[in-house]
Amino acid sequence: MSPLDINIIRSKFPFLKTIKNKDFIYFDNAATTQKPETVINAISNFYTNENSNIHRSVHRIGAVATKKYEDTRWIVKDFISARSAEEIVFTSGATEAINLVANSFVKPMLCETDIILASSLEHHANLIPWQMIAKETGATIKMLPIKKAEFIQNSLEQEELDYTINLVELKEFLSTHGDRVKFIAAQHISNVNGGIQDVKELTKLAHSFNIPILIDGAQAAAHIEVNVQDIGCDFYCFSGHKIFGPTGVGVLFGKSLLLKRFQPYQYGGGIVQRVENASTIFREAPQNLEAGTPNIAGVIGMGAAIKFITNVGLQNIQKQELSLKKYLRSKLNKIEGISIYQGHNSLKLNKLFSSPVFSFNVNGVHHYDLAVLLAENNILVRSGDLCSQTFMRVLGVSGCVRASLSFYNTRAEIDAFLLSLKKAIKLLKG
Amino acid sequence: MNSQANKIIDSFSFFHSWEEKYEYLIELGREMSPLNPKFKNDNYLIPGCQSKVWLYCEKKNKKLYFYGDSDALITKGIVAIIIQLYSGLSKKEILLEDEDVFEIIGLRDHLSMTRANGLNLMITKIKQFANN
Repeated sequence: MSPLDINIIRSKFPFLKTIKNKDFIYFDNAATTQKPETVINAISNFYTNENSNIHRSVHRIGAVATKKYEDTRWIVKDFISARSAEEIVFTSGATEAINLVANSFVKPMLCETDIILASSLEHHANLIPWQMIAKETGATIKMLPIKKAEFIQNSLEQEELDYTINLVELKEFLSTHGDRVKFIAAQHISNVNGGIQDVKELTKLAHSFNIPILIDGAQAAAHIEVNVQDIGCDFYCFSGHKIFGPTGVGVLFGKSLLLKRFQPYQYGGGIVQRVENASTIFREAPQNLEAGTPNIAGVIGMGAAIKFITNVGLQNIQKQELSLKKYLRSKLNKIEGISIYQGHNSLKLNKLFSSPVFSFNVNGVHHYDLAVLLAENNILVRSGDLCSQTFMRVLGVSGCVRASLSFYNTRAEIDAFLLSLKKAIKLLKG
Repeated sequence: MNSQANKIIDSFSFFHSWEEKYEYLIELGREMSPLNPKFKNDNYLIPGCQSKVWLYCEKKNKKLYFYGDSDALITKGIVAIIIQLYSGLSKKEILLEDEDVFEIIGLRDHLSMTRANGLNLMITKIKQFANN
């Protein structure tokens, strides 16, 4: 493994070249990542040379498009170490993947006495769908127990707040209520604090009570190796646009036996074996869950994004992100009155790494004001509740500023960000 | 254009850099007559903003008077400008007021980038008061 030349890496991202010319700094990678030219070219090439519908045409171009689309299922399968390509369903993103599991798998088996467990650390996309099906069926949604905010000294000798799921308390809860719990949904990595959940142990615990589990990997797949067989989870999802791929495309991994039990929640062409006037026989999963013409270019673009990640190497990406994270963290620590909500990595292995997401507040300064002034300095960060109002309540704040990095960011960008941040704080504190 | 709008535009014309404009905007927020704390509740909250904005309307002698506050300094400055613009006008005058002062003072581009600051929501709310 050779070390990365960041200048070469950055030159592969047209947007990074564009914003450099305008002096913009992109620190909003947890919202969406930039796209390498291989992804842009794959999409452009599809529309320029291969555009036709898939799974329907007998002509050669249609066959090429179908092959590229279906090849991507294999690329995704290898990327997350699924057992077979049939376990990969293409969706419009992680949000649709979660809604699909909620409506096609969980809802039909719910009754009034049942419980769904999610956590207050979730992105709204992994909370609201569960609330809605609970409401529709009369079932109850309960929050997974989380560890109290205790400070942990990590191996970088920096303090991290531990907001991971409390497996001991969960086990106690399941021992008394396990028969009523029909499903568990939890994040892999937090979009707020970058903390990593021990999803393998969580899955083991869920399965010891025969409860199926979904892991939301939207913030994980661009940062750590995902191995769904090792985790053992029943469902795993992520979005293409957060792993250097296009928007409007994503993945649901589901164990074959469970996908077969799905009741499609939208119907249309491409998912049928035989249609009579009054009834239809459907194809098997995953095809029956991809009604209508899918986002073919998007899927092919996502395949190119995964190839890009594989070529760069996740270990290289992690190494780079860890170095940036250490640097930014050490500098941020020096800012007076700052509270950094950085998450704890609950994995026993690879202790050094958690996602390079920095959510913070500065005492006496509103996060909105800070984000506006940073934007005036061309620093692109996110502010507000980060689509995680329940997590904000856990933190006891109404919102925060989030600087989220990717491996293509640089120390020079971090320096510029810090300079702007200090300037903004000075202006706001008067 | 009403005379209040002219005053605001005139004051901002002294500042050229965005830093100076924001400093002045924050100053306007600090100088604004305070909102009675009893109105700082959810009934007077404008939903949908990233920072909290409260707006209270009082009718006296056929004119509407506005009082507001925000938990963010920049938003509070925007509230101050909006109140300066519309407070003390009749319902008819409020509905006729369509000058984009924020455009003229050079902050429209900066402030309208997201729905987060609620600038448009505030103006809509004031027009709603005038319509009732």
